[in-house]
Amino acid sequence: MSFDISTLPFSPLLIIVGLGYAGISAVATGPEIIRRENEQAGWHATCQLNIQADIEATRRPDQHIPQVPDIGGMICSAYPELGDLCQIIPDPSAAARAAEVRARELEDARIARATSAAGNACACAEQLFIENQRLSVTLYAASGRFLSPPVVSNRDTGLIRALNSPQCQQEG
Amino acid sequence: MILGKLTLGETALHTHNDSYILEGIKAVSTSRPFLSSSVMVSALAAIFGIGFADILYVSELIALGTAIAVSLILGLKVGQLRLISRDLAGAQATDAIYGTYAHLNRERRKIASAVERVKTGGAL
Repeated sequence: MSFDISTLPFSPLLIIVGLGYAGISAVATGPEIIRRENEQAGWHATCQLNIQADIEATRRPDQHIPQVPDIGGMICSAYPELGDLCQIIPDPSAAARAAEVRARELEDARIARATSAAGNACACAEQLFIENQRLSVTLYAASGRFLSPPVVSNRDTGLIRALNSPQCQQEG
Repeated sequence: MILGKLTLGETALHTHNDSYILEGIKAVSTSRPFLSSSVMVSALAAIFGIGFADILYVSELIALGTAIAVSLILGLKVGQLRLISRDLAGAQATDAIYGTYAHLNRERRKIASAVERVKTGGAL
């Protein structure tokens, strides 16, 4: 069956304009609108704070070093002239304290690394949300907020779901 | 302003590509072919601009306003002259003549008068 576009009761240009507007809304304006609204709502800052709090919650608790009397140190403080003797008697907690300091440094470095990647994870969640909800985002942007699908108006749930997805967990 | 060439002779109308014998022309029509599209473009741009005015930069709002104005002006200004041929049973003979609507509308009256003159054997 042939279809003659000139028989339409309206200009074919209107279809082209409509399709073009939908395309621009889907590819350019829709994602940008969502990003700006998220920025305005402070979602990025909240997201990063939440991730940092989650990471802090996984911090290794400090190890308790048993207080063993430092005999050598006590002798040196009481009898400075016996310096040679107190050098011979080692502090029994010194090795454990040094190991603990080293463990804390490593833990701090791990937390810092994980925290610095929080921004990537938040951006990933935003991008994934836009990709998953492309049609709703397009409708929302094209209609100038006149049509607001629930998934866009209550986007926090979708963003958190995206943040917890395997793709964005790898980013974080 | 006319895009291309439009010359009205004694018995024929010459465009940059074709010549039309005035005797065979049934109707001369001028229209604004892009008016509906330009109104749609302007309406969509306005909906977008008004809807998201709170998160658009001033430069973007100015660009949108300019686009709306340009689109409307083009839609109102750009015209198309169509000649309907009697020999082609009312089918459109050409749609190749574009220009400013006001100019083409003036030409339409001249062409219509010339067609009438040819058909009445120059009695007018």
